[in-house]
This record gives sequence, C-alpha cells and structure tokens, in this order.
Amino acid sequence: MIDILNYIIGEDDESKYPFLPEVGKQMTGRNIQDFLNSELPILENAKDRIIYSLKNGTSPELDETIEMKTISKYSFPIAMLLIKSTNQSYLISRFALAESRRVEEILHNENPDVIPQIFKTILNVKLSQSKNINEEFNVTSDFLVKNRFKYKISLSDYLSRSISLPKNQWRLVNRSVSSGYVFLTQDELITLLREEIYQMIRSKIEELKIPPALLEDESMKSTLEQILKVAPRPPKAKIQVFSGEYPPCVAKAIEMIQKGDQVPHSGKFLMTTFLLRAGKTVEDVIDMYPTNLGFNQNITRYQVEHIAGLKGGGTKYDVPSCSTMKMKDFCYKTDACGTIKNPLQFNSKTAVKKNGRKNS
Amino acid sequence: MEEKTVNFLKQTFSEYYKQNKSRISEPSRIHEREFGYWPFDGFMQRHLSVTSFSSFIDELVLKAPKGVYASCSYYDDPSLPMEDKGWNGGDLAFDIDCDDLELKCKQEHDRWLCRDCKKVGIGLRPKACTKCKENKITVLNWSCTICLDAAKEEIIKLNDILMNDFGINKKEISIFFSGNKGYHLTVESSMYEKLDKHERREIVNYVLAKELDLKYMGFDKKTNFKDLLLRLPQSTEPGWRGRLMEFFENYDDSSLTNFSKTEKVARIYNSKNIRFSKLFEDGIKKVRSTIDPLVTSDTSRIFRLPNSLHEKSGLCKTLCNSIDSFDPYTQSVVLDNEPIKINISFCPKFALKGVSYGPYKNQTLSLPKYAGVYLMSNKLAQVA
Repeated sequence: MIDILNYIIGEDDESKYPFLPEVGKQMTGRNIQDFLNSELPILENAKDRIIYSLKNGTSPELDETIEMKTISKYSFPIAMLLIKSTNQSYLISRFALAESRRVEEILHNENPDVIPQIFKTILNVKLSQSKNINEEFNVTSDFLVKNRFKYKISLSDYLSRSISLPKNQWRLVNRSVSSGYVFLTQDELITLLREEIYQMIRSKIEELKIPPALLEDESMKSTLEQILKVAPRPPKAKIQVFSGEYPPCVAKAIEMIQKGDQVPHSGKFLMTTFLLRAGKTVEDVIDMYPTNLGFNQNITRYQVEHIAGLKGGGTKYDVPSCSTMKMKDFCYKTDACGTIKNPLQFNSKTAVKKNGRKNS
Repeated sequence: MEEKTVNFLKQTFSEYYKQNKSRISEPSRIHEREFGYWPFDGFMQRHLSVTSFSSFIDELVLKAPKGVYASCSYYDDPSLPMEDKGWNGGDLAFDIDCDDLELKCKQEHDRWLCRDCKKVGIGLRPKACTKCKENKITVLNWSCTICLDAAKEEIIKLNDILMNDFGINKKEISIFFSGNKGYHLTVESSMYEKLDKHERREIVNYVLAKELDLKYMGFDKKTNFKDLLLRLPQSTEPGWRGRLMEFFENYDDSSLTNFSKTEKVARIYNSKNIRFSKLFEDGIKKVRSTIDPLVTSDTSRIFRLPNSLHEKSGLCKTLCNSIDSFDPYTQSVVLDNEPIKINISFCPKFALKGVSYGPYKNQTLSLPKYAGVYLMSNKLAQVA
C-alpha cells in the first residue's frame, strides 16, 4: 500500500527544489520585471548561478540565510529564462545537468519523509517508505538492516527505469521484491531517478516561452551578453553526421544524444546497433555520448558492449527493423527511405532505385 | 497426412465449433485484439479484427481451421500490419511446455523415425540414424501424465511468484491447459499491461532466476564464517533471497541437523564435501518456474484462443478453475465417443477420459472419436 503523503512542502524546500509547482504559483501573475528590478540581487544571482554551472558542472552551494534562500528560489526561474534565451542546446543541457546534480546532492541527505513527496510532485513517481521491512518479513538479516531499504517503488515504475542501468545490482532477480514492490535504499532511489531529474529540468527550460519584450530589457540583454562571453563552446562531435549519410532515424538519435536531449532506449539501441554494423568500433560509439552532458561512461560502455555481444549472454544484437522502430515511435521516415524494411538498407541499391536516385 | 484424414479432421473441428458456439467465451477488449486462424489447407491468416464474436465463430464453423488465435496485445487497429497497429499494451503471457523440462520419461515414450531406412527408435533423437547413419529423422515428441504433472508443478510455482512477488491479484490470473503439452498463464492487470519487450524480459529473467548473483543472495567467499552468518538471508525474506534460503534450509544432510537454519546453510556453503555450485544450480531448477523465455517477451505473438481445439491433439485449450485438481486428459477431452475406424502405424500407451489405450503397432482399430483424433492429430494414424 502506498503511504498517505502527509508531508507539506515548506519554504526551505522551495529554495532547494525551486522547480516545485509551489514556486511557479508564487510567480504566477507577477511581472517578471519585478524580479529583474527587485531590491534583491535576483538577476545577478541567476547570472552567477549559470556561469558557475557552465564552468563547474554543478550549481553553487545554497547559502543558508533566509535572504539568500529567497534569492535562490527566484533566481532559478530567471536563470531558466536566461539560459533559454541563449538558444544554445549545449548550454541548456550543461545548465540542466548542473542543476540536477545540485538536487541529487541535496536528496542524498534529505529527510526520508520529504523524499516521496518530492518525487511524487516532480516526477509523478509513487513511492512509499518501508520503515519496517525487517518487522514486515520477520527478519534480522544484516543485509536488510545495514542497507536500509527505506523505500519501495512499484514494480512497473522500477522496471521502466532500471532497464538501462547496467550492473547486476539493478536486475530485478537480485532485488528484494514483494507484493509488486521493489525495495530501495535512498542512494539507489536517487540513482534510479537521476536521469529523470535532469530531463525534468531540461524540459521545463524547453517549454518556457520567452516574452519578446523581455529580450529587449536592457538588464536582461547585458546579463545575457556577460554569460555568452564566458560560456564554454560545445565540444566537436566525434562523429560528423552528413545529410543523407545515415537513415533519418539514426541521424536523429545521434543529433539528440550529442545535444543531450532525452533519447528513448529504442533510439539509443538503434544508433548503437547501426553504428556497430556500419563498422564503427565499440570505442567510437562510446565516444559519441558526451560525458560533459551527463552520460555516465561506465553505463554507456556496459550498454554498448552488451549490444556488441561482449557482455551478458554474448548475443550480438541486430539492427531493429523499420516496423519495430515505427512501433517504438522512433521512425523519422523521409522519401529517401523508399521501401526499406531495415535502416541498414538505407542508401542501398534497392532503396535508391525505388527513389530513382543514383547510388552514391 | 492423407486427404481422407485431413477431411475427417476438418469436419470434426467444424462440428465442434458449430456445437460449442456458446462454450467459446469472448475475450476481453475484443476490438483491440488481433485474431488469426490456421486452415488445414493453407497459410496462417493473421491481422484479423473482430467486431462481432458470434460472426467470428460462424466463420470458424465454415473454415474449420486447425488452430484459432488471439493476441495478448491491444492495438488501436489490429487489422493493420504490425508496424501500423498502434500497440497499447497487452496481457502478460506465459507458456510452459513439458518438452522444456528435461524429463526422464521422454526416454521411454518419445520415438524417432528414420525417413531413409524406416528404423523406429525409442527415446530422444540421435544425431544420426543408428542403423543407416543418415540424418533424415522425424521425431515424435510424446507426452504423458508425468510430463503434464511436471508442467503443472511449474505453472503452480509461476502462479506463486506472480501473486507473492509481483502482487498480482488471483482474479487477474487465468491458467489454461494449452491443449497439448503444457499450460498457458495470462495476467490481465493494468499494473503490468504497459511493460515493453525489454521490461517483460526482466520479468522472464526473474521467473527463471537468470542472472541471479550469489553476492546479492548473501553468499560471499571473501567473508569469514561469522560475517557470513550475519549476511545470509532468512527464508521469510521476500524474493529470491528467501526462496533460495528455504531450499538450502530443507537440504537433507544428517551431519547438519544440530545447527540452526542459518548456520546449516553457511556450513553447506563452506563444506568441502558438498559441491555448492551444483547444489545451487539444483536449487534454482527446483524453485524457479521453467517458462518459455521467448513467449513472454514477444508482444506481437498470438495465443491459442481458449476453448479452441489443438491441431496436434484434438484436445481443447481449457481454463483450469482449480489447477491442483485439474486433469488435462479428462477435462480437455471435448470430442464425442462415436467409434471411428483408423489404421495406426504405432503409438505408445496413452489414457484419455480415464481409459487406457495402446501401445499399438500397425493395427486397424475402432476407437472413440476423441482417441482416434488424438492419434491422427499426432500423425500416428489415418482414417481406415
């Protein structure tokens, strides 16, 4: 049973988790200019927050004074507006990653009563605390006691997230599973959901609509200039995608990965199987995932080696068919695809002939 | 199979569907499922959508197919090609086949026939014919009560895992005798219907205890005995930790009777006389449920329709209301007992509706229709 969540979000939580709807509500109906021209250095703090994030890959530590908590709470949405205004996907990803790392740090030491409420609010993941796992199963096992499986998550919620985590530790068969729930420690829970925290922040930025008048605001303009002056440049992609070289679905996956966008498992799987079959090495494929955008190299290596048949049962995976990709909602078919049944056939004689083009 | 025999089977199947229209219950979410059937004389027909189930049964009477199927998956439009159907989820489906259980009785009742020299051998298929050394071998995978009892044990274990570990309600689970060599289990649960192929594969690995790591079960060679006692789980624990401990605690060894349960297991683990890895492997085999791993993770598969006839036995896919007492060789026999004269090439001993038949070899006999169809479906007899 899911425990009833009685925890009420307080002001402290709002500065730690400024993307909570409570903060959004406080900003609704208020003029952004009020924040920009506030006596509190909100715009300045937003600028510092961004520059620190872009340089260090994490956000500055939260100042514990009440005034700074308020500034920090409101500087986050302003920072989101600023970073969105840069219109640079790479910078947006870097900022979102830094903010998500800051949140992770806080969550690791968070009060267990707060955790379920936070995840329910921000990711709509239902968790419950399992305060009495030992009593529940009448055990005194050292493993259970020491590991402190404080939370349980529904099996379907667990599977959809654990599937991409490489270690044996995450395989369902090695977990304590009961009545449709999987038991987790606080650190495991955060690892399980970290990708979503990043994607949640990133999509919040993506969804923002910048009022045109705001871009004309002098203080905004000058702050933006200062940010762009020190912002790092995106690293050069290890694999250049030339138009028409790869099938559109593979090209899309590569583009999304290199921009730090959320790529569904099916997209990553397609890209990896395709590139391996196209003659790229495991190292080439691993290099495609920019580590500075939060891709964990160990996880990526495991996944790529697994697909290449170097890990697990030794199965070398085939490139999924067009019909599978369509079913997975990752088909970006163009006329150039012709009547191919598998992305591997792209640019093959058959596909080209059907389109009346010469084979390149 | 001779044309006369095919026609007889076709007519028998048609009569069954005509007389049992009300027996075949309409699947849930009928408009979202893909239907299919396999005619005696043609290719499998798939991607059918059914708007009226009674009209579909009328079609079965007319076409008299050897197999009728419905998808476990739900689609926006089941009639479209697979990639355009629009997958919306599906029942969790499991298949247990006694041929996968490595049973000793197969050595006694299975047969192989060399198509070259016509030698018939008993037991599992050899690599080449023992007489002429050719490799043109046809196999008869027979099944007996022992086989189906073993399959039943597996389905009972599966049912326990689904209810205890996965929290699936009894009402959401349906267990069927497949009509031939095993059991099907389907789960209709909103909690699990959206799981994709990869997630379903994790469920499969859980049920089969595949990728189970001893480290997470508390066993570690680097730990000293005292720490091992602390690390080992207890049989009341959830999941595989508890299940495995229960197996080890029940291990019969007179030299370990004086120890506490945990100490007994720790001593087994450290024993020089007991091969732990072999015992562990045996434990897994005993406690897991041996499901077909491909069926559960394949969301595009279509499953035999409940209460339809199985073309390899003439028996009916039957819902088991009480699995413990279910007798497949009685409760799934649905054809009548009108005598039918058949030529039998050979067959091992078998029993249907509590009556034993065989073994037969090159005989012409009159048998009840259900027994005759059983042999003809197994390609061991023809209409005389």
